[in-house]
Amino acid sequence: MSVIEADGLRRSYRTSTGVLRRRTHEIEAVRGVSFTIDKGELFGLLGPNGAGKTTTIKMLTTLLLPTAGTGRVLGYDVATETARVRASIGYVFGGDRGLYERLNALDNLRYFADLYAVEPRIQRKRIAEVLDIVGLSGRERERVEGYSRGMRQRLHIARGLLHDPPVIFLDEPTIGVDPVGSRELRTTIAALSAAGKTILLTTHYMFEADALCDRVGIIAKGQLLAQGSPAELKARVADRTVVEIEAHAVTADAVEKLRRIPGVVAVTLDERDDGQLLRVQSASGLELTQTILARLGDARVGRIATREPTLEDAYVDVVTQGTRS
Amino acid sequence: MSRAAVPRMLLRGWAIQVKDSSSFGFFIMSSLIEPVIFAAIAAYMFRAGNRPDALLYAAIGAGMLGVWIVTLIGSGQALTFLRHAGILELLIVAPVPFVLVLAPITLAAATVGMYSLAATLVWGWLLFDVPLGVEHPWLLLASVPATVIGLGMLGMLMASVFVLFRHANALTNMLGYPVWLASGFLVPVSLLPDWVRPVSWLLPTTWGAEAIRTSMIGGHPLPAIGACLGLAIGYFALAALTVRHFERLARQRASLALA
Amino acid sequence: MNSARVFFRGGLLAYKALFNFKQTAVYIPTMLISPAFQILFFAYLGRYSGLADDNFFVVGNAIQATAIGCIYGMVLLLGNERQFDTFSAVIATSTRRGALYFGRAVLPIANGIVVTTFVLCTSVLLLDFRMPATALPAFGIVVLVSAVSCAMFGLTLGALALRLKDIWIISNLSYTLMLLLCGANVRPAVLPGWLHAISSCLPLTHGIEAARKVADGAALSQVAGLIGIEALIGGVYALLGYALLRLFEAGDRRGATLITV
Repeated sequence: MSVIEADGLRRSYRTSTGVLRRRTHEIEAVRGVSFTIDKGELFGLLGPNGAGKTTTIKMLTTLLLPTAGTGRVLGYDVATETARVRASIGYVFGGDRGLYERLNALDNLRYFADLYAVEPRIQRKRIAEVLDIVGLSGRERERVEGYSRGMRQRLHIARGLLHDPPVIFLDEPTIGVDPVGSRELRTTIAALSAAGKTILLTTHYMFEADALCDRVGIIAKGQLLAQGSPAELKARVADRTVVEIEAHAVTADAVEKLRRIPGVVAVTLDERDDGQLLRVQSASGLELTQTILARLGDARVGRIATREPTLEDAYVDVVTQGTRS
Repeated sequence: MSRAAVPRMLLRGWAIQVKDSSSFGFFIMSSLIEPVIFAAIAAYMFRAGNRPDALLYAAIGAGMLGVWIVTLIGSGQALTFLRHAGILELLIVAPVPFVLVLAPITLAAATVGMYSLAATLVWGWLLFDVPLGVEHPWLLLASVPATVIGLGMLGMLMASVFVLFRHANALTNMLGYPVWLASGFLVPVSLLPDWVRPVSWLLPTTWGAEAIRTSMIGGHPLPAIGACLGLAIGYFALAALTVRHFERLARQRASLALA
Repeated sequence: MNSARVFFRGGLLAYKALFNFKQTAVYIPTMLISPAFQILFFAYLGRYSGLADDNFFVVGNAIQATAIGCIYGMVLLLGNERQFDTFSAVIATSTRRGALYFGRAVLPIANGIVVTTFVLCTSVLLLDFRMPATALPAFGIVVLVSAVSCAMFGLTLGALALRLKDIWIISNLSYTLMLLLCGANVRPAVLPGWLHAISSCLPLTHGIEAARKVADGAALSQVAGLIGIEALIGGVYALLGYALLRLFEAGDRRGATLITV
C-alpha cells in the first residue's frame, strides 16, 4: 500500500489587485498533481520557486484544502480526516521561523510533545532522543534566539520527530543553511530514511535530491512533468554533453542565438554573485565550444568545461520541454 | 489524544506561554510600567479632588486597566503574532483541536496582565502609603483566577475574530479606553450614560474588577466571581465556534502562512 | 529650491511608505476614535474625582492628542527607517540634512492638528465643553506651536529610536508619561518636585496651560510668555534631535551600527 497518495490535486488562489476597481483573479498554483510514495521511500519534489511544491505539501499536511482532487496519507483523506492525518505526520519547513525565539529548545520541544500527545512517562527520554538524532544534545537549555540558522533547522526537525511519525514532510529543509550545516542535515535525513520513515522532501538543490532521494518528481507551473529515480531521469539526458562557461555580460540575445545552433537542446544562464554561468546542453559527440564562443559577442569568458550530464541537466531538460509545450 | 493528557497539555501550554510573554519587553512595559503611570494619574487626581480615601480603589482600578490592555494585545493579536513567527501552521498541524491550543495562549495573556495589578498595588503601598488590607483573602484567591479565566475566554473569542481583519492592531488600539470606561475600573458605571450598563454586564472585566475590589475593600465577591465564570463559559462556547470557523476559512483561503 | 522639495516631498514619501496613511481602516480607530475616548475617560474620571470641570480635561487632552501624531509619527518614521534599512540609503545621499530631517516632521504636525480639531469637536457633542468662538484664532496658534514643539521632541526620541531596540516601547512610554507629566490631567504643581521639574522641560506643558487660559477667554498677549516658552522648548529639542541624528550618522559611517538591528 502506498503511504502518501496525491490524485489529481489542484489548488487555486484568489488574489485581488487595485484599490478602486478591485479585480480578483484566480491563480492556479497546482494543476492536477498525482503521485504515490511507498512505505519507506524518500521522494523528492523538485521545481523552481513558485512551481507549486509548497502548496502541494500544504495540501497533504492538511493546512490547505485542495480545490479538486484527493490526497491521502496512510489511507486517510487529508481534507476530511484531518485528526488522523495530523497524528501520523511530522511537518518541517525551512527558514528560521516557526520557533518560540525567547524560549529554550527544551521548552519548545516540551510544548510540542504535549500537543502531539507524547506520553508524559516517555517525554523526557523521547526529547533526549530527538535532540541526539539532530545533534543538539547539550545545547537544549539555550534560548533559540541565539541559535544559528542550521541549529534552528535541526531543532525544527527534532520537533517534527517527537511523536515518532511514520511519515515526514520536509519543505526545503536546507534553505539558507550554510554548506556544512546542510551536509549535516542531509546526513540526518538519510538516517531517517534508513530508519524506515516515509519522507516527502521538497528542494531546489539538485545535488541534494540526487544524493538523498529514491525517486524524484519534477514540478513546474503546477504540473508534475516527470518522475522516476534519479538514475532514470539522468538517462533522459545520457546521450548529451554539457558545456559550462563562466562569463560576464552575456545577453539574452546571445542566449537566443545559442539556442538556434543545430544540436543544442537547452541553454540556461544563471546570474551569480561573481558573474554568470552559461550551460549549453547538446547531443554528445558534437564539438560546439568554438561555435558557442563565436556567438557570445562581446561577453567576457572565463573558465570553460565540458562534462557529463547530471540530475540538474535532466531537470533543466524536463522543465524546458514542459514549459515550452 | 487521551482525556487525561488534556489538562496537562493546557497547563504546560499556559506555563510556556506565560514564560514566553514574560520575556517580551513590550508586554512587560504594558503590564508593569504603563499601569503604574495611570495609577499615578488617578491617585493625583483623587488626592487633588475630593476623594483622597479612594487610593486603594485607584490602585486596583489602574491595575485592571493594565490587565485589560495586556489581554487585549496578547489575545487580540495572538494569532497574528503566531502567524508572523511562523508557528501558527505548526500548531494547526498538531493533532489537537485548535481551541485547546488557543485557550492556554489567551489565558497566559490574561495571567501576564495580572502582573499589572501586582505592580499598581505594590506601587501604591510603597509611594502613596495605600493600606493593602484584604477583607476576604480566600475569596481574593478565587477572584484572581476567575478574572483570568473570564478574560482568557473573551480573549479567545477576540483572537479568532480579530484575525479575520487585516488591521487587527487598529482594532486593539481602539478598544482600550472604551472598555476601561465600560468596566467601571476607575469611574463607577452609574456615572456614565444608561446604555453603558448592559454592555458592562457582558464584560468579564467588570465582574473581575468587582470581585477583586470587594475581596480587598469589602463587600460580597461571590456573585461577581460567579458572573465572571458564567461569562467565561459563554465566551468559550462562542470561541469554540469562531475558532472552528477560522480554521476552515484559513484552509480555504490559504491565510495561515504569511503570504 | 531643492532643499524645499526634499523638505516636503521627502517627508510625504517617507510618511506614505512607512505609515500607509491612506488606510482609513487603521487611521480612524488609532488617530481619531482612541483619542476621543481618551478625553471621555479623563473627563469622567475628573467628574468622579471632583477635581475640575470638563473644560479642564478636554483642553488638556486635546493638546496632548497632538502627541499621537507627533510622537508616534516621528518615532515610527525614524525607527522604521532603521528597521527596514532605508535610513542608510537616505543618508548616503548628498541632500542638505536639515531639510531631510525636519521635512519628516511636516505631516506628523499636520496630523496632530487634525487629531486635536477632531477631538475638540467630539467633545462639544459628547461632553460639556464650550469655548467662545472669539478664542479660536489664539487657540489655533497655541495648537500649532504645541504641535511643532512636540514634533521636535518626537525628532529627539526618533533619533534615540535609531539606537534602541524596541521603538514601540519608546513611543508608548513617552506618550503615557506625557499624560502624567504635561498637565493634561494633573496640574504639574501637584506633582512631587522632581516630576514637576521634568514636566517643565517637556513640550506641551506650557502649551496646555496657555490653551486653558485662552479657552477661558484670555487674550493672546496674556499667554504670549507661555507660548514663547513652549516654542523655546521645541527649539531646544529640534537642535538636540538634529545633533543626535548627525552624531549617529557620523557613527554609522564609522561603525555601521545602524544596519545592525
